[in-house]
Amino acid sequence: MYRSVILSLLLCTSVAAHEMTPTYPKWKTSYIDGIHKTTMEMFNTRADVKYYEIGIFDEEWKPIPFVTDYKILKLDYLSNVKFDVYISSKNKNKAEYICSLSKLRGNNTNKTMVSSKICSRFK
Amino acid sequence: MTTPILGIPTEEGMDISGVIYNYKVVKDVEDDFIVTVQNKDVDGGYIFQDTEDWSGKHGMRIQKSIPLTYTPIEQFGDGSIQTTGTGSVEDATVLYMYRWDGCRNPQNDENCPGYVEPMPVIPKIEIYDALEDENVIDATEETDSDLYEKKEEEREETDEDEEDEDRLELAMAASENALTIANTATQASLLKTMNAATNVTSYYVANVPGGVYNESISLNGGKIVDNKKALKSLGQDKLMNEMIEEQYK
Amino acid sequence: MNKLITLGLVIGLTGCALLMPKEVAAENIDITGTVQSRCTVNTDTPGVYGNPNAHTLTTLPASAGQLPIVRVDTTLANAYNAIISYPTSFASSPSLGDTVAWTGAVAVVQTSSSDMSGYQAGSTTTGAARTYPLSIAGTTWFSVASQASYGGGQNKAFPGGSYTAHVVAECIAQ
Repeated sequence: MYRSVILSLLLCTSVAAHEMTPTYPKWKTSYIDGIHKTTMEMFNTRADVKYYEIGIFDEEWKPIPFVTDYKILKLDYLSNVKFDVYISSKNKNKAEYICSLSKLRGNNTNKTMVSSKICSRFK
Repeated sequence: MTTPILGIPTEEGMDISGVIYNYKVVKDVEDDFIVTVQNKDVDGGYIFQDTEDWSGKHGMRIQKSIPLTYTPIEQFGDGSIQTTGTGSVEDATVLYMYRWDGCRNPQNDENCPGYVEPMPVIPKIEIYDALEDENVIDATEETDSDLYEKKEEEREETDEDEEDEDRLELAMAASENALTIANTATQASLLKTMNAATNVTSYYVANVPGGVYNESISLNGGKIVDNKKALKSLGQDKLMNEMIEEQYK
Repeated sequence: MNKLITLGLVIGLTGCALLMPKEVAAENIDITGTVQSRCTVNTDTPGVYGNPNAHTLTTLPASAGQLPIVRVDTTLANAYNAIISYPTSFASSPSLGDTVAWTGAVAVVQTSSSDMSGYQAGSTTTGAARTYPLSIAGTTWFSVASQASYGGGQNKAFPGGSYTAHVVAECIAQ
């Protein structure tokens, strides 16, 4: 009955996004003693990227050990995923950033690709 | 919002759901400059007005999206980019997002609610009625009786006049003839006169002398002999007979 | 007996019909969601390297290249920093025996608010990365210019093959 037509932005040839929420996650105690966890959600609207790497860093951007189901998540185009991140309680206070980094395939065309990285911060 | 400006037909049923505009501001940082992108409402006022104050800011390109409630395109009047202050706007682009409501007029599509089956157009057939044809009426119109009745009257009058004249002549003649008939002496004198005019007496006494009239013409040379070459005539006859027989071969 | 059974069935069915509700009560079905701050990194325009001469790869449009443009959206002011880095190495290339010199520049090309016009002036650089504090909620477009020269100043020709480099766009919570 209705035909919605949205005129595309003439200045944009493609719209591809990557986002991760919440911006300020909080650690919660888990069912395992000495382990804290937090839950993050990612949404992928980049058709050129399917894999994202998760990392936790301190304020000096040094990596901190953590555990997820998969360190490199497979996230299809237009799909989202919720994943739990577990960290030892002693590292909880050192953890400053949790980031997701797009993994680009090496056999892509000769176009300069954009590697996106989104980091949330623990408060 | 007219077809030449929009570039697409502004048919009934089109709603505008948002506006995206983009322009570049060229100015000095210290200058005051205000840019307003707006669209008038045909009923007065503005459908939307979006203002960016570039005063004390670097000039650069901006792109903004303005969502609108679905507004019929018929409401949109003239759009404009208004500036105040020192600076300029370059490469301005304004895009209107729209949707098409195909059932705004239910008659656009038979699947629309409220669609009324249109009545078929019955062609008007003009039936020729000869009785109403003016030409026929004129042709069949009863001739004015005055036209032909008058002639008859005139004829009758003429005949009557002639009869009257004849009767008059007869009457006049009868009166004259009566006198003539009555006057036998006049009749005899008339006969006599007639006889005198035709005197045939000379014919009674006419005498044609008789006698014999001998032939005065004679033939010189004696008697007439037969032609010796008459046998040729027989040959000619033979030839003639052959010719006749030819037609039966 | 049969009549009694029939009568019983009729009464029973009638009673059920009377007891059953005439219409289903309307229910409100909720759709829930939350609005939270987020930062989204988008590839607005992929970059393409032009090859104006044998020893240079560049994204400059004048050299048949295409500038990559990154779009960053944030829904909350002063929640994120955008860090955009131009490439400093090839992600994939033929074997290169000599050094490659990298240059580049990151700049704000378009914003969704005039208040963001000070982003470029308020940004800081660290090597190839430029950091923009996203103090205004909205959308910002960044262009990334990149140039690679082969041969360490001796202008050696790039070997033939496919070259790919990556622009890194980061959105770090403040």
